[in-house]
Amino acid sequence: MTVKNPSIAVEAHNITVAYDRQPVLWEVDFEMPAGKLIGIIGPNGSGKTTLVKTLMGVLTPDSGYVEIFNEPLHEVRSKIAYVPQRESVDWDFPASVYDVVMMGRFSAKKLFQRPSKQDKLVVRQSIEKVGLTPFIRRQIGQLSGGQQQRVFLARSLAQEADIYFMDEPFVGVDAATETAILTLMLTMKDQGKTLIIVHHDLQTVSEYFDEVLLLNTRVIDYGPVETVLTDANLKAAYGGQLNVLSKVGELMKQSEFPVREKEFKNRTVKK
Amino acid sequence: MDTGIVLTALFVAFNCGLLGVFLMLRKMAMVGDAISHSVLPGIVIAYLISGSRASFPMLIGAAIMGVLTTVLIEFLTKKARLQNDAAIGISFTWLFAIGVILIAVFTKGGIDLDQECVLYGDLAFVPLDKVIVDGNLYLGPKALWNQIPVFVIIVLTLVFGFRGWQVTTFNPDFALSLGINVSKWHYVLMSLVSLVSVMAFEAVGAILVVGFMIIPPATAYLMSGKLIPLLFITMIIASISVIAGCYLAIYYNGSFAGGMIVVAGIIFIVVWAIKAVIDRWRRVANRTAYENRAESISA
Repeated sequence: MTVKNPSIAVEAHNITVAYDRQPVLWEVDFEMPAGKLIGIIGPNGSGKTTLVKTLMGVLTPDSGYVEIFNEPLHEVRSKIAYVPQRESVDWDFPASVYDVVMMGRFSAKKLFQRPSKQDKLVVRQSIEKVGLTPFIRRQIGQLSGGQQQRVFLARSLAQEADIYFMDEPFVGVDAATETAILTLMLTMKDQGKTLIIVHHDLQTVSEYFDEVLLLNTRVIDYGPVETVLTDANLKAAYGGQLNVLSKVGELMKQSEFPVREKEFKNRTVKK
Repeated sequence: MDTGIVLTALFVAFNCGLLGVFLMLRKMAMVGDAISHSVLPGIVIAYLISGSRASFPMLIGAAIMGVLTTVLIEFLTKKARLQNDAAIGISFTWLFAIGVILIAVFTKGGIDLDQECVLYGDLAFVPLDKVIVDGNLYLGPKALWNQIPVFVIIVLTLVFGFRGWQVTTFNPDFALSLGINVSKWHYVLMSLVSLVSVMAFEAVGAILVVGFMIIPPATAYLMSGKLIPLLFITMIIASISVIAGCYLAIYYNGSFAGGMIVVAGIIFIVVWAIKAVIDRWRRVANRTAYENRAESISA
């Protein structure tokens, strides 16, 4: 009998997922604490999206299990929110910003009910938080990439969850949106929310996250950023990918010569 | 012009169009095509077992075949690792061919299920099968009374399941993360498509059903970026196609369904052309406004 730790938000045990007998995740095992900003990083095709989908119950693992706040997933669905990759949907779909954010208020049980006053209020507040109120009736295809990403973010806010899974929220967004998302994430963390974010940009990892999971089919390492992003770990994760290796080199250079840009970014975020 | 024909065609077009909107948005237009064809063996087998052309056994047969088709397509895509469109091509042509063979084999015994009728349907014969109560009260053709309950079922499903259709169509992964059973919604839609196909095949035939399913929604899609208006515009375009197509068919003395689909196609082209002209005009207007401003700044 193990003693359950209440501060554990997400735990995955022995997760293996395979497509056509080709393993995408192999014996992935970790416990993520609540109230932290956690990054999942790794090269392309390392199973980051698959891992997030498995944690959310969108995919069923071939072996292993996931628990959220020490309970099986279906007991705590209302406590988790999901921001899928922006490219995973067709933005020409006939829906307005309001319609999409309202989907954050849906659940399997409430699907046949009309939205309550509370639902409508939360939706409007969520849209306000990401600064899209002027576009509330706009068809989602007429928004820029950054605005579309903020629509997804607003939808996850409308879910009023405790754990937020975000798949590459910084891909293809403008600088303003990146800052806005980051500010929002820090506010959410201050409110005690857990944020688990798939990320691919090694350079910003240490700025954004408290902890990182370095993934390449297996878990290479998991823990605080400083202990995980070591030369040896990065080589193990990125292996022979040459262009990435050069990026790693850049990263090492940066840690030796701190760049002013970083301070600048921190300053704008605080504002 | 016979009102029975027009009303029947209207409801066929409504039923097909409303489901077609969701098929199109789910990028499943060709799955609709596949189902409308592959219900054929189901109909024939149901006919052979029950020995009558009553709607109910045919419905069951068609519904089973419709769902079987989607299962077969999924199986071929996932297990045989075929391209999705190749899987669709194999599944429905094969099932349809089985249906054709079955008809050919059994029509030798003088069965009143005719290949031509199944393929092309005929609205002109719709008024011959009448619903008459109390001996002399004519309530319209039987085909019309087959379509109306289907229409009611579809409208109720869309109204009550609206949020479900919306979220499972736009973002199925997100719907799954909410605990919504996405494949259940998928199979409900597929069953409805089978239902509509089997009810429509005697009126418009297996080949043109998909025209009613896709052309009006595709036209409406050019005109609106919102889901509810999209559904209503689809019904308006379907109505115009049916009525104008009816006149066209009478004028050249040909197939009603053929005339209707021709008109629907023409409406699509006209709407697309108008939209292209408007877009171009807007772009030019924007550019001149921009150039004027640039000039005024530099001057």
